[in-house]
Amino acid sequence: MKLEISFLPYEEFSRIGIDRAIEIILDKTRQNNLVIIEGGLTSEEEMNLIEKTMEKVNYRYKGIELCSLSRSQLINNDNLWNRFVNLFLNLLGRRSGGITLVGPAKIIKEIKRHPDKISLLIK
Amino acid sequence: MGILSRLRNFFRRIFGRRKVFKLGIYGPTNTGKTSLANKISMDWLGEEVGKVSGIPHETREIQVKENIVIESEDGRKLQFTLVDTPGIATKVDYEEFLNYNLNEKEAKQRAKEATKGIIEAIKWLDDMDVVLAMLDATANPYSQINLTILGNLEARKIPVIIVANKIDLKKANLDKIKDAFPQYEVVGISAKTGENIQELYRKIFEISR
Repeated sequence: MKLEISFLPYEEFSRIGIDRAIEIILDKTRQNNLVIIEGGLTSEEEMNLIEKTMEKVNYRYKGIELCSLSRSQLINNDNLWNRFVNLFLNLLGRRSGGITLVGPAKIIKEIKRHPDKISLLIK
Repeated sequence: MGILSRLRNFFRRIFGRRKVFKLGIYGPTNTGKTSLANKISMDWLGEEVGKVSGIPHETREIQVKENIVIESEDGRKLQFTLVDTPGIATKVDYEEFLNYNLNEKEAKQRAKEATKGIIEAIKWLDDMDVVLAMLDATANPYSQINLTILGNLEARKIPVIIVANKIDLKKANLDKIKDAFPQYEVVGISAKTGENIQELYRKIFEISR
């Protein structure tokens, strides 16, 4: 079974809004795509995604695997400059500069978070 | 007790908010939410809330127990409505239920109910006044579901107690949970044996003040 990787850039995400973005993400996972979302989803958007996923789950589509990493988890946050940028982005209400991975549960058993990497366990 | 504390308590009794609120139990599947709900309900009402089993998604709809009144060691009372919720998950696979001796029809029905239950649990989150975020003390605390639930509670400014369940098991690691979430109140319990449940009741009193 083939797993393709799709990328949803931050600019496109901002332009189309969360509801349309979730539709696109779920469509892509149903086509066996792993979607990488630049900027990452907020917790509320993740919950919205889970809710919409459950509306789509059936005998053929089992749902998704999901993993979000914030900017501070992706970069070395011991660096003072990186900490300042992170704080500045948060104050502006901007996304943290992280990423969210969303993949089809049919193919991906688990997306695991480690201190310095993400691992995908494929079925 | 100083004069300021006396004045504060006096005005709180007159003008303070009613101590009746909705206490929700949220978390991933199979963390013991219904076991804890049953423990609380049995301790104070003498009746259970719902059925417990080892099969994932046993609780597939919101279960509510009203008029639970807990009493502290110093005689204070706290009344709340207890809300037990289906476990939050990002996937539901009916084939998983076949491993528990359900036939295909039963497994598909269970899966359908489970997805509806998750949707319902998410919708109810906005109505909660306090939440017990249930984690399995033997499992990885950094799971995405845990982080998503806690993030949503923070965004909604809902007070949270993290309940690390199953501390009666050898694999339980309460320190790992506390290290993962240092900004939260973490209470380790066993809903099955009742271990440390009194500490949880104390924390519920504290958080609801």
